[in-house]
Amino acid sequence: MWLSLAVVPVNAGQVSSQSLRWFDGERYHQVWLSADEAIEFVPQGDGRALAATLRGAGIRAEAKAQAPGARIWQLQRDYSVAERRQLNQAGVSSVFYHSPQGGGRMALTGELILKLKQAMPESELEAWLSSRQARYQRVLNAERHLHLIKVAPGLSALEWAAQYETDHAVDYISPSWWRERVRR
Amino acid sequence: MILFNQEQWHLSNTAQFKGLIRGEDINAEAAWQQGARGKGVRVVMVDDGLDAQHADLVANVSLSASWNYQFDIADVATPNDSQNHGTLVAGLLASVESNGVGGRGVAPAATLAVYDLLWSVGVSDADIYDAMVRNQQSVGVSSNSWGLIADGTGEVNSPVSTLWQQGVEEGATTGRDGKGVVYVWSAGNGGVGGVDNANFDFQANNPYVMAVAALNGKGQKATYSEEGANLWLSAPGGDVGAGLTTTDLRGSLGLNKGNDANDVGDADYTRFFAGTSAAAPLVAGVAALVLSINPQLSWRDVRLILAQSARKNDSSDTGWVQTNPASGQPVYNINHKYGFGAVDAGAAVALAKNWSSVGPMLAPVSYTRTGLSVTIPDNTGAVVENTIAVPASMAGRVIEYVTIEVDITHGYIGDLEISLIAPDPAAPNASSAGTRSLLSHVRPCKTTGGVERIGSCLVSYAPWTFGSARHLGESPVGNWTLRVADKAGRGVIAGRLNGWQLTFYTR
Repeated sequence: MWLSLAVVPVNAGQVSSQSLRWFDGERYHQVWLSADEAIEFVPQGDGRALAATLRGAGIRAEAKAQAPGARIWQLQRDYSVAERRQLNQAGVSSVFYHSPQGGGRMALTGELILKLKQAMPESELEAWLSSRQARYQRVLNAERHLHLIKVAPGLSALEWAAQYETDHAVDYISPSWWRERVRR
Repeated sequence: MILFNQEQWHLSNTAQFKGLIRGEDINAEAAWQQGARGKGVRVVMVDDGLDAQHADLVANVSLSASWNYQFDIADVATPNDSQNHGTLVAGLLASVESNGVGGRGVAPAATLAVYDLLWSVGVSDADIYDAMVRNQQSVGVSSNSWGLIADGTGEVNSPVSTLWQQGVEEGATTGRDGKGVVYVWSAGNGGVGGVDNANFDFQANNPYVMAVAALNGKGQKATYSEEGANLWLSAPGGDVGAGLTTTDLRGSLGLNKGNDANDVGDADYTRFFAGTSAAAPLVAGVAALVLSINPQLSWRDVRLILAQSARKNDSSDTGWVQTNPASGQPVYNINHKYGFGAVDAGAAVALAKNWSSVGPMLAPVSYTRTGLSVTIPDNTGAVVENTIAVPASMAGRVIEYVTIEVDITHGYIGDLEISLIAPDPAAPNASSAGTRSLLSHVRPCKTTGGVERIGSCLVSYAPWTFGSARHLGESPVGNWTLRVADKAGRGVIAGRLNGWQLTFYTR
């Protein structure tokens, strides 16, 4: 008898030696880049068009597997952080792991959680973001001054957060991670 | 047209199939006979979609109360073949009764809403938060048969989503006009061979959710179900030989494609659903029955009612112990495999009718040890102990949940056994000999699929927060001891206990 039991064995990719730091609103964490995986958040067609775009930008990759709400891409090699910016420009994020040995996949959609120190009119917030190459998405919790904003996906989201986290108006900025979601 | 009354052993187990034991069900009929149907209660399933036009569901589904995260609209996306999970869960929860087709959900008159978070594209932490708080004033129960990490890895799935944590706390404390949303969570399917444990799941560790384990048709732990000190309840989840019969994507989609002679004859249903995914909606359905009979109950009232009315299943199992109640509190049976036992709908509804609300939860109180730097010898049999003495000023408080944050540096945490021992009820300020919570067991650190994940044991508990339901109704006063022992020789470097924190959620 076959039963529908949603245990999904992890078959993650290799972990790169490259790591970065992020803040979750309470403490800092370190994340490690996947050496050979990236995530496409809005999969289009069979992926050949994206593969061609990436190839033109010097990144060799092929569609690997479907994940919930995303497609996983296999990178040909462990590209440098600088090279991975080409991925971001194509709307693709590197995969991150929370330990140097791997774990559940995470990726940067480009959405950031912005907690302000105090309330700010939406128009003022939009202007503040616009001047910093970011877009306003929506309020998450008005009482807590929590907002969702959008920058480019991938590493640039972490870099944007690091650049503005010390702004006088900002309490903290944290990535709104894409995470693997598993049915049980 | 097929009626499945005899199929649904989880509602009424008459030993109708080989390998079942009569009575090992959720005692639903007794609840229905008391007039509880879930009417007036909105239950939200956070899942991968729903066949909303299914004949056995359509009358109970509210599309306007649902949410499609892919398009950010109040609707449910039409599922494709790989998105059958939500329809399986929905049938167990709230299939329509007496409509001449199919089976029956636990809460057959509840209003069902679906937040299709799991398979939507572009979903991030902000959406996960949203799924916990959306329409929180009108949501009674949130049923969650999912997690943020694959089961069976045996790893602690740090980093946690602090935004998700804020969401469930917000929903529990401010939702439903302050009475709170009841969050039900599947405990995980990685329990084969003791590889995984619900205490390695930050969502199941949260004090605002009820983690649910799965039982087979004999009322014993399903092979895959994870153990944990954080388990609240158990419910039938099926196992090899007896899955649960429920709705499926219609026709040739879903689990039953109409060509399996072993499955039910109507391809709009299947008898092969199993997992803690199946157990959780049964408990969510019972919570809806309880709220329908007494809508003024808070989320904590519902949890206490379910714990107090639970049935001691698998009664010969040696893991059963009894709590040491504070003055005036009931004694609970508790088991690392089952929590407080098998959910009992009939007993829960009966208890809910005249239940007096327990009043507000007091602000959590924490006690912390830092800068310890205590060596944990490698596989010598030595046990490291550290004690926190909770003062008499906490007298009169009654524990509802405990969290234990540990900061341990170690080369291979799969070697560690970690437990918390409550004060000795006879001499609380002298020793710790009370209820024991096993928080972390020695484990192989590989998946049930056989994929070696040795690396998952190389992550220190630095820090990690465990949850425990096992001290419900006890007093916090006295000596609480954390015990850490390295019981295997795989990590050859001795570890170090740096500190720990004990937090009490009380009334």
